[in-house]
Amino acid sequence: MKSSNLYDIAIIGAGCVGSAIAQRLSKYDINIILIEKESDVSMGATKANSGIIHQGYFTTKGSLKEKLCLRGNDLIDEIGPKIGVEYERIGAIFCATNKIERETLESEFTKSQNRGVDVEIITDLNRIHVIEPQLNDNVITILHFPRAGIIIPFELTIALAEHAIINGCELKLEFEVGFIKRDTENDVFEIRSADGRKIKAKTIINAAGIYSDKIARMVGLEDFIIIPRRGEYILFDKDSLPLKKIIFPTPTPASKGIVISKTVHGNFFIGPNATEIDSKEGINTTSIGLNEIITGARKIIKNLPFKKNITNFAGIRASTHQHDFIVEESSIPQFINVAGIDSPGLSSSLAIAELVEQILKKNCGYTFIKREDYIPTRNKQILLSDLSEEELAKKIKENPQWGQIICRCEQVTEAEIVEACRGPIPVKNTDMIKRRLRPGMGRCQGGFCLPKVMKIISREQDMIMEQVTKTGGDSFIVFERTKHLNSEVIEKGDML
Amino acid sequence: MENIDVVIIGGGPAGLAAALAAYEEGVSVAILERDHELGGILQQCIHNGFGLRYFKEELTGPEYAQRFINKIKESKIKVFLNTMVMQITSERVITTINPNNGVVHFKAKSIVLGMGCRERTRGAINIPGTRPAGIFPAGQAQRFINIEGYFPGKRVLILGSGDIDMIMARRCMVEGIKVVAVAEVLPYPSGLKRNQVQCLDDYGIPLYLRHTIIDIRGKERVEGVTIAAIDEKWRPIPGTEKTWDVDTILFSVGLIPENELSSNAGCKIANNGGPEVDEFLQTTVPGIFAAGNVLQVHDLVDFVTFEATRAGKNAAKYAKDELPIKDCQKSVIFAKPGSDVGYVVPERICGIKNSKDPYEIEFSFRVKNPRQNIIAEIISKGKIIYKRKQKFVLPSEMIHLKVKLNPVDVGEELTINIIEQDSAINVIEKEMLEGS
Amino acid sequence: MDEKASNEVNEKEIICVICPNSCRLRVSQDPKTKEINVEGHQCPRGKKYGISEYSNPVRVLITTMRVEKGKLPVIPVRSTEAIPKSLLIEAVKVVNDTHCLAPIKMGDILIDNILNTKISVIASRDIDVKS
Ligand SMILES: Cc1cc2nc3c(=O)[nH]c(=O)nc-3n(C[C@H](O)[C@H](O)[C@H](O)COP(=O)(O)OP(=O)(O)OC[C@H]3O[C@@H](n4cnc5c(N)ncnc54)[C@H](O)[C@@H]3O)c2cc1C
Ligand SMILES: Cc1cc2nc3c(=O)[nH]c(=O)nc-3n(C[C@H](O)[C@H](O)[C@H](O)COP(=O)(O)OP(=O)(O)OC[C@H]3O[C@@H](n4cnc5c(N)ncnc54)[C@H](O)[C@@H]3O)c2cc1C
Ligand code: SF4
Repeated sequence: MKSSNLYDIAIIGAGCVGSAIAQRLSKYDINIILIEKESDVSMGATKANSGIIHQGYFTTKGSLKEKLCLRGNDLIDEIGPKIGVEYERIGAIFCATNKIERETLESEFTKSQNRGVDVEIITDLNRIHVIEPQLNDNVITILHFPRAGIIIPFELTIALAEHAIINGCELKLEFEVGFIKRDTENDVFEIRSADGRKIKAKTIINAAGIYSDKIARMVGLEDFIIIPRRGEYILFDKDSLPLKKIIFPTPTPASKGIVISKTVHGNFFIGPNATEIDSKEGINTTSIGLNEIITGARKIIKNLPFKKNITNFAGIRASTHQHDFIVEESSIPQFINVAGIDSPGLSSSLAIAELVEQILKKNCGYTFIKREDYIPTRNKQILLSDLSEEELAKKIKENPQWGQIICRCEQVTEAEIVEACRGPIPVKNTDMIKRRLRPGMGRCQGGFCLPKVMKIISREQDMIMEQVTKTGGDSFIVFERTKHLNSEVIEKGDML
Repeated sequence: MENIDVVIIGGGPAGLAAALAAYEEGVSVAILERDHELGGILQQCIHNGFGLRYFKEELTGPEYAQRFINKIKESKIKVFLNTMVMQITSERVITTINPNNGVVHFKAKSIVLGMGCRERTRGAINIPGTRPAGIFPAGQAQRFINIEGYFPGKRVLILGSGDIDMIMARRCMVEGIKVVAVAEVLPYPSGLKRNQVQCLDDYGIPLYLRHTIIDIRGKERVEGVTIAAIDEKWRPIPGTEKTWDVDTILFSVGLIPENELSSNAGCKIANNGGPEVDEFLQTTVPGIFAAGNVLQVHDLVDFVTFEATRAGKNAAKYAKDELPIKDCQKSVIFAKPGSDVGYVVPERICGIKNSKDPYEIEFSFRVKNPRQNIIAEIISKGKIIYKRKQKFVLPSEMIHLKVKLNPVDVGEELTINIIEQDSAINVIEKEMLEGS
Repeated sequence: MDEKASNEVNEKEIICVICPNSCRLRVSQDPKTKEINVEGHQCPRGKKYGISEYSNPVRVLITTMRVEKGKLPVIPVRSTEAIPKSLLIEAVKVVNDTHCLAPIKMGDILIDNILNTKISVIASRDIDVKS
């Protein structure tokens, strides 16, 4: 289909935004490539965020954030089910504990009504505690947005990317764009990796998250810089706090504040704080930050089950001085910036893709024709938890791997891991498995299943155990064998 | 559906001992084990120090397990390997899956839970830092080295000074992995002195007490670690930082009983994470018994065997309708942890109220702090009804009290206290003082 | 902390590990009579431990050995008796250079008379043949 490595459109960055764009464009009869420096999609800001589908609240009137967040919130109903992504509209509440905060909520209530958003303000204390029994007694008013929801960001992104790949989009992982040359004569861009590999494309969509300024600079654009702002989280075990709602304090101009929310898988988290940091690689958590979020959470809810805390993590927002999303064709023709996508970027991603499609049509001369062989849906991988006992029994008969539980906390079978390894995005490290099937994401954090998962990957991808990594690159898990045989034959993971 | 008198969940030392004890009572017994072999966690504990109490000789973990496995092989106990128990109902129907037989159900007259425990994780202690490869729970590293035969690293810092940590420190050094230091947040090592001497001192490994990790370097694989001393509020003290280049961090912050199955079956879970049991080791669901690490985290496997033997025997009696107390919900007296006691097993005593004679109960519990010259006492109705002096108590060593209580002395509940006494006693052996 | 040489050249501080008392023993040897003197113990068992730990500290060798054709790649092994502490690392090297063939039974002698100590290295468990 493609000639000499020349693509119509190259999307740089496979976060939720780049993947949503790829998914949207893969409907059409064009050659697209999605380029990502990491070993998997969804490894940037999209990996570590609150996973909330916002409802346009607390955005500036007339901003892109307002418009795209509201549109994105609607689009999820259209696209989510087609590509097998789960989300739950559990509703979000903002809590006021004093008069000033109450006034802030009242004014946002009016703003939201004017936006035509479903919203309710509640001052009846009994009702407040029926809506969310975990709230502190000092909460006097809540603003309730019933159509806000929760989603697993990387599940969405993997689904979007896989749906694009099924429809012919190429995904290039571990390709870090280091240099872009504009060939004005032939109207093509030459995209080069640090190690000298090349990709040519007529159009570039820069969706490189916190590095989108760096990518823009490669073609000489200097009109924005990205300010990394870190947010830290603490994650708790399944069912350790029966939350009904996504809970926010009253936002300040600086931030939406510490959220307390459950996840689609029944865990719950507290976070994020917001710290401007120097390094774009600063995804570490800090004692100060963790204390900050614990203090924040305690203001709003009664019982934090500290013993049930399973992990902590951090994500980086790609903020700009403009304080709004940048989605536009730049001053360089055929180079589209999708930058400054901080919160609510996840909620907006599907709408951003829609806007990019419009820009391509209006400004870049694309007349899209739908592919004839377009596959409109992507099936979610079948998981053990989806099966009834009879179905499972049948599956085990066909394939005994369905009867081999590998991860005991999350009950993931060998069959599921094998299938994930063979999916549209081949799985080559243990974190990729974790994101797709969630073994090890539970209570034991992989304590018991890690060696087994490594063995399956090494068998499926024809690698030795020493080559299996945690997250790609040099993140090797084991070094060499403790004991060698004189005539060592490489035995892949000594399968049991 | 397969009908079996006593079904044992888990084939670790608890399951093995419970199975043999039940079998000796003449009932049919099956062991369900999700792993490909019996032995449980013992198969990876290849060091010596097991069996001194039970076998009166010093064995390694696998040897201890093998002796039981050999006995099981000689018996008619049915063993189902690669069989994961997915669900247990309060009616004692057990759902399992297995690669060869698919979904299989068992109906048991009684059940012994012996699922063991799992390790707490890094997040459980909130260590800040990035998340590169090379951070392992100590038990997982133990598995890599001792069973899978791979090096999880070459230069290691260990956080935690429990027995598993110290034993892993030695295992690492023996295999040529350099252990740069062991850091412990508590002011005392949390494992046995013997392990401190033979695992750390023998190899010149420094132990930093009241220290914790404040930073982990490395993006893909661990490259370095910094520890610092902490003050009484557990905050790092500036200026006390020490940094090493390491490629691996092992940590252990304790074990948690594995009780999802038990709580789904309706068993009430006590504060220590194990099911609440009575003096027969029966949970709050009639006919379901528990023993070993699923009940309380043990430091010596010998006591797991003793405990599980009781549970297996009682389960068999229940199956034969011979257990003196069938309804574990009736005439319950509660045993509570008092001063300096972390938890008490059993939490409920069902038989004493209706007993005419002095009633024998075996308590086990842990203290919260290391202490010397203490008295362990049992109080009920405001009176001391039992006391015993002991020279030393340590949180790492479980205390076992076998007592005979007079039913008339006991009210609705009893409390176990640890109190310090002033006069030093020169007797090392435990001493019993009857009455008050 | 252990074996800290003090003023007297041949005095060692040894922590007794026989019971939880953990007495700090000061052990020294009379240069003339060669008699070993223990102080700081609270019972005879401690004295005995002090003397043996001073004159010939021994430890049980614990490691793994590579298995050929086994269900598992390595087998846990141990020395039948404690061997001199000073020989431990050397002995591990000998085990590392050896391998054994499945099936193996617990107690099988895998290395006889390791480093001429008259002590053997034996298997800690059974290992079946890989199917
Ligand atoms: C703490 C936090 C909480 C948030 N909470 C929410 C929320 O609840 N709801 C919500 O809607 N939004 C939320 N957001 C915002 C949301 O996460 C982001 O807007 C969204 O993930 C941005 O997606 P993206 O695809 O633009 O960026 P990213 O996910 O960062 O993707 C960019 C990709 O580009 C790749 N890349 C970078 N440079 C190169 C290169 N040179 N070559 C190749 N590839 C490259 C990166 O590896 C990365 O995968 C939150 C953000 C943070 C940080
Ligand atoms: C990492 C680690 C290191 C240890 N080191 C030592 C040591 O050095 N010395 C010492 O004395 N003690 C040690 N212990 C404590 C030791 O575990 C106990 O003394 C003893 O092994 C506990 O026995 P158990 O049978 O209760 O549990 P385990 O030995 O854990 O056995 C439980 C068994 O149940 C099975 N099981 C669990 N759930 C299911 C299910 N749903 N379906 C089927 N089967 C199931 C498991 O696979 C396992 O085989 C250690 C424990 C751990 C976790
Ligand atoms: S000398 Fe005696 S009392 Fe002291 S630690 Fe050794 S065995 Fe215990």
